Amino acid sequence: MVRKIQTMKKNLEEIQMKPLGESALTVQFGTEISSFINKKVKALATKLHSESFSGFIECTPAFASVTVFFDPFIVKRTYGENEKSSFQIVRAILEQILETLVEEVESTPRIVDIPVCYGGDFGPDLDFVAAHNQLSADEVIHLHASAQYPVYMIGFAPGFPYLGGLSEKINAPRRPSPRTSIPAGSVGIAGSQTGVYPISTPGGWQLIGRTPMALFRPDRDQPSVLSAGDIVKFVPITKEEYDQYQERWQ
Amino acid sequence: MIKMSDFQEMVNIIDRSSVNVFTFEYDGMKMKLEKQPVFQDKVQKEEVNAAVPDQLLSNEQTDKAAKDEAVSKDEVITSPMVGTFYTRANEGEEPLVQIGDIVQKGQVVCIVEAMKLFNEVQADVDGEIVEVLVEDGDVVEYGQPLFKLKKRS
Amino acid sequence: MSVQIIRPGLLATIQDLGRYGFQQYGVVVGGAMDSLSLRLANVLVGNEEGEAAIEVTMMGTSLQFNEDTLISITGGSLNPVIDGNPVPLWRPVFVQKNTVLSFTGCKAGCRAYVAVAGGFSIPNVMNSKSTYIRGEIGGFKGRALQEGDLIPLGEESSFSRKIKKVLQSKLKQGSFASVDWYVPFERYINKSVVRVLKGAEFEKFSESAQKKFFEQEFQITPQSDRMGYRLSGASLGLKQPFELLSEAVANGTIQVPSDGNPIVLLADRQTTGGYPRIGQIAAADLPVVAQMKPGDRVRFQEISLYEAEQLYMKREKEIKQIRTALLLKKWSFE
Repeated sequence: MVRKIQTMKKNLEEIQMKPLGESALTVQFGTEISSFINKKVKALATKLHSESFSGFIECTPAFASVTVFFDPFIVKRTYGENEKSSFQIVRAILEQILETLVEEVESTPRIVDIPVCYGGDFGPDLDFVAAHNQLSADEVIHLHASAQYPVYMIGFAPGFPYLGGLSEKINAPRRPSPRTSIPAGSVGIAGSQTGVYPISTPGGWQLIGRTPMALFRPDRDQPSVLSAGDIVKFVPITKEEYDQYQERWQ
Repeated sequence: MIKMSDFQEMVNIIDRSSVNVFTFEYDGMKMKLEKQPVFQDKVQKEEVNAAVPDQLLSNEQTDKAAKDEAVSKDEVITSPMVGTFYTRANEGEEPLVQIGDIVQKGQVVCIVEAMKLFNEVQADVDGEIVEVLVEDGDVVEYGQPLFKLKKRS
Repeated sequence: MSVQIIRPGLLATIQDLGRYGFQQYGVVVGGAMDSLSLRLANVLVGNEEGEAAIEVTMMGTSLQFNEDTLISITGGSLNPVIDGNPVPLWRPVFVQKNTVLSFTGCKAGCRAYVAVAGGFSIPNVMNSKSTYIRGEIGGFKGRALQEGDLIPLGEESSFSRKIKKVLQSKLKQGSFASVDWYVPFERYINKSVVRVLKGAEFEKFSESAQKKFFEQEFQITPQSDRMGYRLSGASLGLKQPFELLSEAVANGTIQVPSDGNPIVLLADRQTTGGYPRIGQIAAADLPVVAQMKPGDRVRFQEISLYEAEQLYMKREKEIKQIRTALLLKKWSFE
């Protein structure tokens, strides 16, 4: 394992902190998807989960931000010696952490193959994505299945991976209004992002296919199959193969 | 954290209870209260309480003192504790009782709030409400008369 | 000791304060929609505040207590009755063996909480007993309660046993007995104004959308559930369209998809979202929203971060005060 060590001190002024209500604060490292920014996200989240402050509840890492949830009552009671709000107190604590935080860059990421049956009933929006980009459905499938996707974050729903690396040629806007129910295993595209729905849930992504693989296993210690830092590859399969996979995995 | 006013409440509650020594621990804080021997009337009351433990849950017993003071056929309903007097159980609702209302023994006539608990005060005789002696929202003392009642014969 | 589900009604689930520490894996927090009512229900029967209770939605739920049990009902007034007699809310209630408690209608609010002394003896999944139906996680077999379910109860605290004993001796007729005091929290039910902080993307909305958001009334649509409430009313447009990087959302985040209709994210919300956020409901008013039902109208009132924090502190202090008052009640039983 190779480690690149660098403190975040010199980047502190680029980092924004904004409240998410009175009980949470979002640390924003940037506004684009990049592995450079995502590494900072991972470093802060890892640090907070191993060594936090009084009143810390948990934190949610995202593409370019970490949202820190806290109990204002405990924060004020522990650190509130003057008129400062709990937001200001937590912000000061995080600034201090960020000054000394080192990024740990792990080499040799894990590669996870995810089989996908594209189109048909499994991918009702495949034709929309194709038409939107003036491509054929097969070209969309080919482009989607030939890339390598780094896992930037797990979020939105249990085990849902947000993946980078989607070809610009197959970007597509979110649906105007989310669907009320999307079946588990659905593979979708939203803007420049792609991902897999591990459980049945409402959602606004354009659906292009479905995987028989269970990405969320609540009985395991780490309930998500994927974690930030992994590389995902989509492997096209037929409907018959899909059925076989499902039989084998259940 | 517990405020001074909460302490006062606690002291009040302890004061009118049958307990003589009380220690209290909360959030790393300790408090001990010891009572002086009480006067005759109160001792009698305590005996009643000891015999009927479930009454400790209610505020009925305090109306006894009121009974002794009552003049002729007039009764008063007194406050069972220090707290805030409310005529209504909920904001925006009708008052529980008004002048001229006929109330029955056990009927809830008002609320006294102490330490965020709403305590229902009941009439202990049948009668007609002839006067409301305090204003809605007033802070009332333990034993303070709240209503004048004409006993029904 | 156990509780038996006679009829599940519209929806009844087991909920506690939620599943924390797993949002990093995308695991939904969940928990009671009205956490204030859940906490108070537990405090009233001598449980820890975060113990699991039954969340009853609107109507039709019927439960049977198979032993003498100390319970409390808080939250919305869903007309709970025992043998046709109304059961008082917001106080400890002793119920006799084989008593059936039924929720017969929606007088005010949307969700009631039934806490039992000792809580429910069901497994913790990822540190919580909350039911997350979509993920089939937690609660009783990962699902909503069904007819015939027999939910085992946990060990009663000494406080619970004390109140139970006193109330048991007070029971003269009928099959339940209660006290002549209660916690005064029903006032927040039936409120229609909800206090809101400006959301992270508030400035990205058009001037008219910003104005309408705080001035006009919105209605809760039937496509609303524990995950979130979809609202109808003024359509809220952006100054110009933009795609947002997905980021964490919180309980009470108000996001607006491109159709312009706001969605209030609630207990079973996703952990992150990508729609612009116009507002964030103050934590102190989340119980108000949780007690609204489809068809109800809501207006958003702007408050500052400072005010929201003050409300939060005030609420926590009130709950502490109630806990202290109940400790004194316990002591007065001795």
